[in-house]
Amino acid sequence: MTRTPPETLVDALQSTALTRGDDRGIVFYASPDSSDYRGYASLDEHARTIAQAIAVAGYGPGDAAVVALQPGLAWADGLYGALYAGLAMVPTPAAGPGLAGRITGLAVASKAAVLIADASVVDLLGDAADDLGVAVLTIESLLATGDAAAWEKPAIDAGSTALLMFTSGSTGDPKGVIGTHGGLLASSYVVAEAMNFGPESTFVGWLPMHHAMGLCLEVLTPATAGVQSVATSPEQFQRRPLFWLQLISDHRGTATAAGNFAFGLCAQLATDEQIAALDLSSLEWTISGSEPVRPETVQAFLDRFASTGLRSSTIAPALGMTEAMLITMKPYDDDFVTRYFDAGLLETGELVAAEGDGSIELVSVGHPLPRTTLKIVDPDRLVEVSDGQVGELWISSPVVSPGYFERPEATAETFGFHLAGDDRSYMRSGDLAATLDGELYVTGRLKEVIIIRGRNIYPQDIEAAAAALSPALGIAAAFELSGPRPGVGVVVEVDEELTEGVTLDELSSLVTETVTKRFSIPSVTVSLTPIGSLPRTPTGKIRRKPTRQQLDNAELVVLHPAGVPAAASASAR
Amino acid sequence: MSQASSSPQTESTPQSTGDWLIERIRLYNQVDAEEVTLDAPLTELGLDSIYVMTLCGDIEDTYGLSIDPTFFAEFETLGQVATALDERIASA
Repeated sequence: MTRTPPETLVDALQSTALTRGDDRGIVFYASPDSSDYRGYASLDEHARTIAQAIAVAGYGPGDAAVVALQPGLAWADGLYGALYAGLAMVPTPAAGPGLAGRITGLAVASKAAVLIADASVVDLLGDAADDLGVAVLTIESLLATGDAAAWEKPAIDAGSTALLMFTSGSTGDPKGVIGTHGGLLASSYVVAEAMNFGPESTFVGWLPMHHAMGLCLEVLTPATAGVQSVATSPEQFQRRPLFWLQLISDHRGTATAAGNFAFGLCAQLATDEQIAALDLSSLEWTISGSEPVRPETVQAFLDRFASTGLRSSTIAPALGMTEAMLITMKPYDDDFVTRYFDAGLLETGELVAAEGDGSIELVSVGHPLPRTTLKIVDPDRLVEVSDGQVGELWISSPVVSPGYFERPEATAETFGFHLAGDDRSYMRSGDLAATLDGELYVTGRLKEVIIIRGRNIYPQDIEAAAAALSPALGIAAAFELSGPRPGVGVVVEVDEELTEGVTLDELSSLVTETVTKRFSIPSVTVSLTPIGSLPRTPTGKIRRKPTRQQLDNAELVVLHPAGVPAAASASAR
Repeated sequence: MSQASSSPQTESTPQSTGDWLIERIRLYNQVDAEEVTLDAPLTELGLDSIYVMTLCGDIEDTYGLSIDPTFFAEFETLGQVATALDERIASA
C-alpha cells in the first residue's frame, strides 16, 4: 500500500499520529514542578474533537479564528483544532493591557468570524467579551461538546490558508502574513531536514507560541516530523533562565533555539552548582536567531558552560522571518563563521576582510536551508550583484508566504519578483546582506539605511556612537532627513539626573559634532528626549520611522532644542 | 582545608532580605554596583521587563513566595520592597 505524501498540516499530523501514536508528543512545563504531555495521537483526537464542535457551531473553510490562549498545550490543541475545522488561525498573546482592543483589531483585520479562547482569557476579558464583534468559543467547551468520531475532514488543500500572522509593522497598520498549509508543511520538512531530525530527536524551547517561530519550531515541525517537543513559556524562562538548560539536560534535548540575549542571561546568572548538574552533551543544534548574534556573548556562554559537554560546533546562527520562517542556518557540525570587515568599505556597499582599527566583526547566518535559493540583488536596478557586494536579500523557496492578507499593494511591493534568466519567484526580504566565501552576512535593513551622497550609513552605528558619549545619553534613533540638503536626524534619550553638570545644550553639541565628524555627514540635527520616550517594538528595538513621524508631527517630547520640533527647525534653516 | 569546616556558620546568620536583593540586582549587572542601594529608586536599577521577571523567579526560589512583576509597582525603593517581602515571609 502506498500513501500519498501529506498535502496539508492536517494530513501530516494524522500521519504522525498513525506512525508514532503517543510515543512522541509535546511536553509543556507550566512551571518547573508542573508538566503536561500530549502525545501526537492524543493531539489528533483533541483536534478532531475541537474541529467537530467548531463545525457544529457553523464555522469552516474560508473562516478565520483569532486564537488567544494561556501558554500551554492548549496552543497545540487550538491550532490543530482550528486547522482540522478548515479555519485559518490568527494567534495573539492572551495577556497584557488592551487585550480586548487587540482581539477586536485582529478580528477586523483578518475578517475573523470567531474568537477561540480559554476560560481564563474569557474571565480576563470580562464584559468586554460581549463587545468584540465576534462570537466567542472556549476551548474547554469545544473539547467537552465535540465528537472526535463524527469529525469530517474539511475541504482544504495545500493552497488553503492555515495561519494569518500579524506583524508588528508600522503603527496602526498591521499586515497579516499568510501561511498556507503547503508553505508551512514545506517549512516543517525543510527545518526537519536541515536539523536532521530523527526518531530520537528532541526540540526544547520557550518561544512564545503566539509567534510564528514558536508555532513553527515547537509545534508544527515536531508534529509533522514526529519528533518530541519540550516547551515552556517565555515567562518561565525569564523567571529562571537556567530552567531552559535544565530542560535540555533532563530531556536529552538535541535542538533548541533562542535569541542572543538568552545566551548572555544564562552565562550571567548560572551558579557553579547549577552548572555542575547540567549535561548539555546531547545538543546538536543551539540555534541563535531573531536578533544579531554577538560573538562575545556566544564565547561567554561556551566558556561558562564548557564543563557541561556543550560543543561549540552546535552554536548555529540562523536567519528567519515571519514571511519565510527559517531560511538560513549554520551547517551541521561546523563551527559558526565570524569575520572582520572594513567598516568604511561596508558603507560603500562592499564586504572586504580587514583587521584592526576601522574594522567591524560580522557573524555569518550560515547557508540556505534545503529547497531555498537566495540572491543578493541591487535594490534599485533589480539585478544580482557579485560576491562581496551588499544588496537586498531575495528569497525563493516553497516556504515563502504568498503575501499579506487583503493587502495587494504591500504584497506587490514584497512578493513575486523575478530576475533575468531565472524563472523562480522571489520575495524581497528588505534585509541588506552580502555573501562571501559561501557565507551570508546580514548588514542592515534596506529602508532604514541612510544614504548620504551615495554612501550607506547604518543608523545603528550612529545611534551607538551617540549613546557612548555620556552616561546620560541612552537609546537613540537616527534617520535620513528629507529636504533640499542631505542630512541626518538623531533623537537621543537623555537621563537628566546623570548629566553631571553638563547642560543639554552641551550634550546636544557633543552629539552633533561627533556624528558629523565620524560619519562625514553634512548636516546633523540632534534632539534630546526623556528616557522611555522613543517608540520601541515589543522586543525593545527602536522604531526609527515612527520616531521620525512623531518628531515631524510634534508628538515627541523634546527637551532640547526647547519648544521647537527639530525637524521643523531643520527645514526652516 | 581546615577553614572549610567553619562554613556552616553562615547558615546560622541569615542574610537580610534587603542585602539579598542588593546582591541579586548587582549580579544582574545592569547598573553600576554602587547605585544599587536600599534607597535608590526602583526605576534606576536596570530592572527591565526581563530582569524584573528574573527577580520574581529568584524571590520564589529563595523565599518560596509567588511574586508577579506587578508586585513592584507599589513601591518606590528597594528598601520598601524588602520590608514588604519580610511581611509576606512572616505571614507565609
